[in-house]
Amino acid sequence: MPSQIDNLFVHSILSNLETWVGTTLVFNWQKVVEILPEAHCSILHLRDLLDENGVTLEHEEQNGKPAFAQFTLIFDLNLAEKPIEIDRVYISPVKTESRLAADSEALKKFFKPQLSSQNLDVSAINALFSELYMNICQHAKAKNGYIFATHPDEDGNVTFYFSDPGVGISQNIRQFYRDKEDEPDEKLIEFATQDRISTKSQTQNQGSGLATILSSINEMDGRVETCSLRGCLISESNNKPLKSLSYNHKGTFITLKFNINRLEKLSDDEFNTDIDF
Amino acid sequence: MTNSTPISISEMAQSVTLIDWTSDFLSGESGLRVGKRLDNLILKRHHQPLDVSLQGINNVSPSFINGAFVYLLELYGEDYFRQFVKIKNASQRVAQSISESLKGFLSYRKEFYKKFSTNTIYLIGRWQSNGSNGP
Repeated sequence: MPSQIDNLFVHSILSNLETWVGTTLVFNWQKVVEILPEAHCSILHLRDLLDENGVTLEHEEQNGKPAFAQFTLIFDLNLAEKPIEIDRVYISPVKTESRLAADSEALKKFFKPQLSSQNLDVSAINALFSELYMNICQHAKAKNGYIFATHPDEDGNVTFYFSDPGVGISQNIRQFYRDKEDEPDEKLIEFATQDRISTKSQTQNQGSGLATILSSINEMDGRVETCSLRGCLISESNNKPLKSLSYNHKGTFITLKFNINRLEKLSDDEFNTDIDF
Repeated sequence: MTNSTPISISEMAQSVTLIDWTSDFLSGESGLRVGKRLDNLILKRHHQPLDVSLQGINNVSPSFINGAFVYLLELYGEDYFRQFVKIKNASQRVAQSISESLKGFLSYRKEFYKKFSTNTIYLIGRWQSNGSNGP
């Protein structure tokens, strides 16, 4: 039985976020349970897991027993244990590309206190954010996805979670590159993170998004976990080990971890450069 | 006889400042809208210089660059782009991003054509009984 809230759990609940008030998130428990994998055992185990982490379940009872189908999960972000460090979080539902500019501004505001006190430049975060945001809009084929970001901890470490319950990276690749139909999920994730690999033919999709993200985070000595369906690619310190998962992620879940102290210092922009290529 | 003075097309460059067109320099959708507007300007004044000013823009995403500028580069080709489309007044960071994207696209295309010319390419289509290429 898992002893702490892990990434998979976060993914499962993020996919079913219905609303939130302050630091309280409200999920459709029935849907959460449906997409949790067999590996995570039974509902009772999950209830224990939730109790351990200070999460309250509000539910109706039928004949003295909990009616799990009608559970609403109240996930209090001020958890007793904080393996995900979500004590102050940025949460953004992702639906359409046209919301990107506004949501990016909201993210900037979220990080502003930390970044401006150290005179750090937010544009690298913005670039990562916008690429993964658009990936969800353009490739996930899901109604929506979610983004979680944490405030930096004392050492400046931040974590971003990008989650969508969509078709999955590897399945997208299989549909577009027919010679790759038989390859395992993790190999296809690795393939998708190469430069110029795209499942879209529009000009704005040049297939550099994931490759750019991996190299930017690597430059900051950070870590990227790209999990989709039954495969996972972990990119850290220029190593990219692959992992086959015993459960199905049902969609894509990308975790970025990096230290904001590795961001460049903010400088006054001078608009005097002509583009040369 | 009417006095038919030929209309002189100004040799002066036409200038646009992108910040007047949009505030979204992140999404590919917005990039493509900008690319199409620039395309319209080029069509109206073909073979006339077009200056695109990035004054005041602090940050652009690769998808925006692809939609706006790689789109034009692909449409008009490298020679035309270099001669008539000038992207100016960028911050150093934005200039570097755009320059890398344009260079990256050109080198990818060069590589692609090289592969194309050295490999046998099979084009697979469905043939209808009437001989036309199917949907």
